[in-house]
Amino acid sequence: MLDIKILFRAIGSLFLVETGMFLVCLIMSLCYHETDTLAFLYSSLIAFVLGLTLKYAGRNSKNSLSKRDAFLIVTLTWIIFSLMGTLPLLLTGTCTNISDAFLENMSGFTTTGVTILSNIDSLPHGILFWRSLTQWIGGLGIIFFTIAILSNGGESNIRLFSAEATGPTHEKLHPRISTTAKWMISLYFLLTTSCAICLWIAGMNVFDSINHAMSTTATGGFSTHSEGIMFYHSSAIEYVEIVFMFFSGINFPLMYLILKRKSIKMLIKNNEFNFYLFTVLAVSAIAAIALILYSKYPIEKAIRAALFNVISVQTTTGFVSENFSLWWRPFWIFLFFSMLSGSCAGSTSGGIKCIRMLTLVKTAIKHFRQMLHPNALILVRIDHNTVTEDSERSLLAFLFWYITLISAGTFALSAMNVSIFDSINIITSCISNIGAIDGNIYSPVTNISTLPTLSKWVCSFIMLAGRLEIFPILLPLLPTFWKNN
Amino acid sequence: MKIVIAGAGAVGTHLAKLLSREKHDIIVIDSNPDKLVDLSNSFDLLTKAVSPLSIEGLRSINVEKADLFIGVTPHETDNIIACMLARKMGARKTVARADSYEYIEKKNQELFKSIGIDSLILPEMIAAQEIASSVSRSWIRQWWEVENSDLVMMGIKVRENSHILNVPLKNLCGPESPYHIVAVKRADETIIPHGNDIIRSYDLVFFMTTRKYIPYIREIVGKENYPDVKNVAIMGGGMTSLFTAKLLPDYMHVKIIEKDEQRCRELFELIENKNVMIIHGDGRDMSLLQEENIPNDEAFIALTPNSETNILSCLAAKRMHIPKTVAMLDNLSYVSMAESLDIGTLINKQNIAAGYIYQMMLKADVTNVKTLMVANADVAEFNIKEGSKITSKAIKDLNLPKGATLGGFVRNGVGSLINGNTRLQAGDHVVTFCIGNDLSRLSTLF
Repeated sequence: MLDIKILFRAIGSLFLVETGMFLVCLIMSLCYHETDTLAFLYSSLIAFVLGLTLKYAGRNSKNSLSKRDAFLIVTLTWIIFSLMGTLPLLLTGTCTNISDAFLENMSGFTTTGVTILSNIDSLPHGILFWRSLTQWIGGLGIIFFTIAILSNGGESNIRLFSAEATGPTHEKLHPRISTTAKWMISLYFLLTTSCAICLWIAGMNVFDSINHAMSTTATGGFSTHSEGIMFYHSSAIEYVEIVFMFFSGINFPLMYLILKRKSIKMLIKNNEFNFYLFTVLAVSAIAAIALILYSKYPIEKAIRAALFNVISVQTTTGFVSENFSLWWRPFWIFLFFSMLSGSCAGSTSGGIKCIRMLTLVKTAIKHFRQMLHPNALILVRIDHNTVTEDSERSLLAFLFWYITLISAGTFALSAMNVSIFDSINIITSCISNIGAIDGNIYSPVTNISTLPTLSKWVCSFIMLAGRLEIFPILLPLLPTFWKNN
Repeated sequence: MKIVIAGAGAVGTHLAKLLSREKHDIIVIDSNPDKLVDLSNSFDLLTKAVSPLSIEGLRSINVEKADLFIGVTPHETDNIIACMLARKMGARKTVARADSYEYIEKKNQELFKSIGIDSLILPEMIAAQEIASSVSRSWIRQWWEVENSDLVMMGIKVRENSHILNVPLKNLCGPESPYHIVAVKRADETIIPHGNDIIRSYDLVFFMTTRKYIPYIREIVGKENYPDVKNVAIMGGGMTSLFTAKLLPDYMHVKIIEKDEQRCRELFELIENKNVMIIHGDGRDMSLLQEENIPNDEAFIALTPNSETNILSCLAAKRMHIPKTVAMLDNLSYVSMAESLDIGTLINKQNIAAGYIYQMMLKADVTNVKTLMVANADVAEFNIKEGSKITSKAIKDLNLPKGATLGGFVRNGVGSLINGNTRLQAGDHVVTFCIGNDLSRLSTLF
């Protein structure tokens, strides 16, 4: 059975990290002399005291953790972290009830980027920065950050790390996990900084460029304006975003190795990256053609709009440069595919991940070959490695639960009088951590504050399930998980 | 020359037999005394039951006086360690048999030299090269090309439809004709033909020619209609099959039929070519072969470890009208039988390995030796040194050994055929054909 002390200790450290996050926002609000200073001060004090208490309570815990406990702890961590994060939102009165505040935080940490706030432009800078920070931290993972910051590579942390990391396989860049984490965060930081500088050059002010950069590299989607990127009406900013959203969708360990070895060959030969590039370009091309033919856009505008919105959806960022629910309607199905597929595993993006989609496509093609040659041994190969039947099975199981969750979520929302088309889009957007919704009433340019209260909890749950790739969150829900045998 | 052969397995035994005829001092060592009894009783060599890895054992056979140490135990690592030990103890040259392709790659040769291994051989790889080249030119049974030139030698089985039958050779080709018939294998006998000899149906004829005349030869031997190979079936998934599949040209579709499922998986991991398909099943199962459409393939290659299975399945393939068959034979006594059953190409790893090692010991600068199993003959290439006997007279005035014939030579990168009036020069690169054991006698001329 789970040693409750490990949980205490893990959450204690997390609260200390969160205290740090609150303090950063506190500094931000002090700089701007705004009303949210006290809220952040109280929040950080509460988090600090609770963190120390929990750490003290868990001081004698074992340093080992079973795989199933790791799943539970990761799920609880994310929930509790988000709950704690509601403090400043509630204390400042940004959100009036816990459902909204929790959804907003969950949307931040899971890098979904869907928001219930309608008055973003008038929010204090501290709160705006808090929202961007949740995305930036959530992009690589809460536990990932804790490991990197606290340099704690114990056995239990490795289990937590693999339970949280996305994608079917997890690469290590260095034999020691905390070093791996540090390298990855350096890359992440580099990417964010370059994005911020580029955005600033393209015409944003310093605060906006930092916030948008954090949100972009995390493939989150929170903005400092209600209209998001559309606020700027700047094609330069859109092009910068196109580039950085695309980069944020690439496998980070792979990107790190390419930078380190200064060879682009690895990227070009990588099957998953090619699939990602191909789908992005193909769907964008279809969008651009549709825009030119049906919406009579000029060519440059069509290409820019197509690239921006398709890349935003496929990298699961969720920025929009225009209301794409007004585009040629049959295009929806391609966008839906992009939503489901997401970008590369090991990036900050959500969705099923390109590597899984690629494996699925190859498995489906393989099946035909197998039918023609029943005795032949045909396996799927990705990047010179054969995919074992075991991983094929777990992929299919993953897909099954993915579809089941989308169906269940859609059912729940439509039962609460949301239209079925909107329900499908909201749930898909949530499970893939996108944020932009291609629906009828809920479109990419609206927020979801008018959703029924209960459905907000459903959305939060679906977001977390998508971010943690389903199994860590579904497993503790099984009765057998709690039986001692 | 003192030669130590470590490992009395198939390759070691064959090599020992071959070398013992050459008046070398051969010592065969193996940790298993049973393997040595037969060798020591029937051949002129010394055997000793010591482990090739034992330092004491190596000392006891005076390995420091050895001119050549050959590691041919079944295990790659044993061979490498034994060679390293022998070299450090004073052996002049070492050869080890490898199991992995990586080890024989050119770029790694320096690494092995530095740890005391002069050369590594991978018999399976050499066998695979031979299979691949014979399948790519399926109408040819034996193919021999001289490196960096356009000279080729090929053995072709002539049948009734050939245009060169029953004509005395002096009428067929003169000194200026574009090809030169260097040898003929008829039934069990290989002959060096002279002007009055004629070619008969079912002879295996060895032509020496230049590349541009290959289509002409194809025409005169009546093989224009012989189908080119596009689909290949390989039975057995051993190392030779693996290398063959990798070496076959990309346009060919290859199916490897292997019984063991685990091995199928390994093969799948190792071969990334999309045109190679791994089939899990028994190559002797006719319904499986039908299902996978093997009877429509143009080539069938049997490479299981079992010679009998290989011969029988090649016969079955012949009955399914697959034009080209290749069988791997471990048992040399089957060679003439398999030959009489009209199996296209016969491959023997021991022979190939032995031929390769054999060249290392000839005094002259032999660059390449291939033993033609079916003809009981060797083809060897020599570089002529300054002042060697062969440059003193024209070929017709030289007293060549009875079983040897000179096919062609390369001078300044241009290949030409040799006739009686040719006078060779130092620096020439000569291709010779020798029957029986005349190779070393011939090598004294160079």
